[in-house]
Amino acid sequence: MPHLYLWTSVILGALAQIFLKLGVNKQTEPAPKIKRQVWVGLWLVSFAVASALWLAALSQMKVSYAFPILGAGYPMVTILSVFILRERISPAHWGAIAVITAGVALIVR
Amino acid sequence: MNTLATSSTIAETQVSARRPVAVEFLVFLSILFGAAGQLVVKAGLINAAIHPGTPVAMKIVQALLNIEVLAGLFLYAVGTIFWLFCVSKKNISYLYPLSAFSYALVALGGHFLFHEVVPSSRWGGIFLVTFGVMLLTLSHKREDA
Repeated sequence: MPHLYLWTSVILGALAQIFLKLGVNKQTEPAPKIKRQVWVGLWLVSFAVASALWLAALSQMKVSYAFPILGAGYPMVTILSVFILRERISPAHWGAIAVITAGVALIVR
Repeated sequence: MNTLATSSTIAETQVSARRPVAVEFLVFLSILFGAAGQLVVKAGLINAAIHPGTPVAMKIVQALLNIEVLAGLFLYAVGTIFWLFCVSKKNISYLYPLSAFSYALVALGGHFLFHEVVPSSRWGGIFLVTFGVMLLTLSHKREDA
């Protein structure tokens, strides 16, 4: 059960960033205001639920095990942004993400 | 609902798109405020000296009554507002990994401000994150050119 909380938290946290991007994007023609407010609302809700699930997971597992999983959020946001937002990722970009993810896992361990 | 209204107002505010450097500077400010927020909250929690046996709900109330904890949360909120500006201007796949730099800043702050012991593996992590963030910024610059 704590594993389910943990991974749902990481995935929701990653999705939250995608919702935020959809809500405040100015790179292309902005979506209608009502649509943007729905995305921003989803960002807030998913961020809150992700935080609650994180606390639930943390109360049942060792911090030293749960924390490095946070690093998984970085490749996850990148993968989601490719599929949902159609952002283009260069090989150097993937390399940098791998370095950052490894670094985060080492810091928070 | 108030937060929702604030966010949409921010979305309508224009940041100069002609100077790409400005967005990176704002990302850095956002990370700096976020990390400073974490450290000030921690300082507040140290000073509040909440008894370990206190029920969780009371712990939260006591924490929120501490002025430094509130100031830290305020700094964190300011960082989030900067973050909203940045997300409206650049790809999330570029910006989000940059935010990992806050882990390095908070770890450094913990060491130099609170004299926390930083094991060598964590110093390695701080170095890796910093290197990765630099790599990402440089690779993005080249793509822009």
